[in-house]
Amino acid sequence: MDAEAEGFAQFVEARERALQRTAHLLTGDWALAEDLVQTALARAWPRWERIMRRDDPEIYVRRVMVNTWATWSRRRWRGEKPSPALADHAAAGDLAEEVTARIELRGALASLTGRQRAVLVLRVYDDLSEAQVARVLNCAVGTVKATMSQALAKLRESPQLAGLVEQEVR
Amino acid sequence: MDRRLRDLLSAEAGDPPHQITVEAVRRRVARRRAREGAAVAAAALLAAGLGTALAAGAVGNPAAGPAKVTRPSTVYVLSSDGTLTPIPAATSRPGKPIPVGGEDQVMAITPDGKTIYVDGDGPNTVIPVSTVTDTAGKPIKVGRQATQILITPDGKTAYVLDAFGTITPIATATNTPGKPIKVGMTTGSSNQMAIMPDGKTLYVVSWTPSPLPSSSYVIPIATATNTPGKPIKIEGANSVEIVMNPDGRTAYVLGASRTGVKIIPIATATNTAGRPVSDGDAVGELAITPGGQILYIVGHGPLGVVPFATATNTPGKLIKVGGIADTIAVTPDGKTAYVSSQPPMTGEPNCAAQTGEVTPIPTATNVPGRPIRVGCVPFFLAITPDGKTVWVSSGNGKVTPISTATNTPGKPINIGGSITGIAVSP
Repeated sequence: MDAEAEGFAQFVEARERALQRTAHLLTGDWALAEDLVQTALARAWPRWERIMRRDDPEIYVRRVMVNTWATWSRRRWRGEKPSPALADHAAAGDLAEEVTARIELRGALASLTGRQRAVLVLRVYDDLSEAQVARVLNCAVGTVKATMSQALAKLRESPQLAGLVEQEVR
Repeated sequence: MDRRLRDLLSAEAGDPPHQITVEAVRRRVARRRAREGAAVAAAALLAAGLGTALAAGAVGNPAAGPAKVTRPSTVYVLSSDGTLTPIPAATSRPGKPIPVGGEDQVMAITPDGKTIYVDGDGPNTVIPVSTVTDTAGKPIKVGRQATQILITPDGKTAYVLDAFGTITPIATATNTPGKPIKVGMTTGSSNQMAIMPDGKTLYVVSWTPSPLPSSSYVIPIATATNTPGKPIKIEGANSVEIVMNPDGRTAYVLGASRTGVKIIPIATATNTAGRPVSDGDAVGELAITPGGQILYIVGHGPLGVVPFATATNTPGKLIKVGGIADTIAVTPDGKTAYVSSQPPMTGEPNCAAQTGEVTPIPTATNVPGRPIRVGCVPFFLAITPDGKTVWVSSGNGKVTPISTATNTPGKPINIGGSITGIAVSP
């Protein structure tokens, strides 16, 4: 295996779980998340040497992932949204409050536009800076700020999430 | 950023049920590369003023098992340009393409060879194509995004599995869909359903993402009633593919885990999973010889193929082929396995500078023969029922016949688009 292929293999091994989690938050579906990450990695591989030279590879892969998801949302699964219904997780004891919040979160994520969802996930879950999110989405930092504000406003509509969001924007 | 919203998102993000391996990515790159290479070639031809567009290479499901020989074979080639092109094996001259629509397609042919079912234009339909008249019938509504079509040995039912874990049975006599069967999530691999030789039980690999950690199952479905039976739990691995031994006694599940690949035998008499056998580190493709003695695992390593002795449940020595192994087909007499492979991918597609191969492997010795050079991205393989010809998608929208008597390639036949599957009618 040459150095380039080895570098790609190491990247996949190190980051595939993190990428899948992000994809799961974007899609709300593990099968789609896996498909999305594989698609993004497959698009990155033939250009890996150039990506390594010119860009942060993870930023590049995440950019492909978000753009691909936007395309899929428009074309392949138009009109379908992740179900806000809770899967059959156990909701025992003091987990009930968190489960309720997750139900609300799932519904709220489903109500966001693709770009709002991407900004929220990349900014809050992946902890990227506004500048990094702007690079992923290929837009201005101001657009990231505005989109994040819109996303949080939608989350704030839920009483269960409002408290979290209020703390978020302080 | 406040931790509470992030924690809630983290909980919602969950834990991925499957590991994404470099091998899985590589297989996807192979599909992309075939198309991109074709596009490059087509653009070059157009730039050179050669007129009509050439097209892509590519992918799809390997052909189903051998069918009864009743008349001269016709090879059907599915293309991403939305056509199914018949090629009489006797003349190797392509006929008029049949419009079927669609892009990412799968197909299956009935045992009598009279009908081919193709997933249609849009994600929700399957199209029956009459091989008698070479015309497409009325689209049949099924679930979303078909990933495999399996036809029962008696030819009466076509089962269409979609990427979201729904199986739609289609009565082939009337081409009407029955009540969908839910089986949980599926993997998107080529062989997710397998059927008993008597057609009474259909097995499907499945997994459930919640509650975490995810669980993996094989679900038996009684074809008489189309009702799922008690799921067979697969411990320690996510089931990916399944193949049936032609003797009907055992189904073999390819399972992937973070520590490697496992083969799990399922006893069909009791519907119980046997002890998993660890075998390598890559998810490949499965094929079994007609006699059921050898299960071949492709993409192992991804250097070649591993023969798995079904009598003893033990993997044999790795059979290396040139480049990276992709798909496999076994001749109806069980004497030779053909494996397609292509050069390692380390850069942009370059069909002008690289050559793919098909390697014959005598099943008696498992010593690879001299590789047959075909096109740049060979992928799909289908063998005629008389065993005389292997058809392979060879990149740039072409298919190439290979004589099994001499293991030499014939003249490539231009189809166009990106080849997404090959089937042979009896």
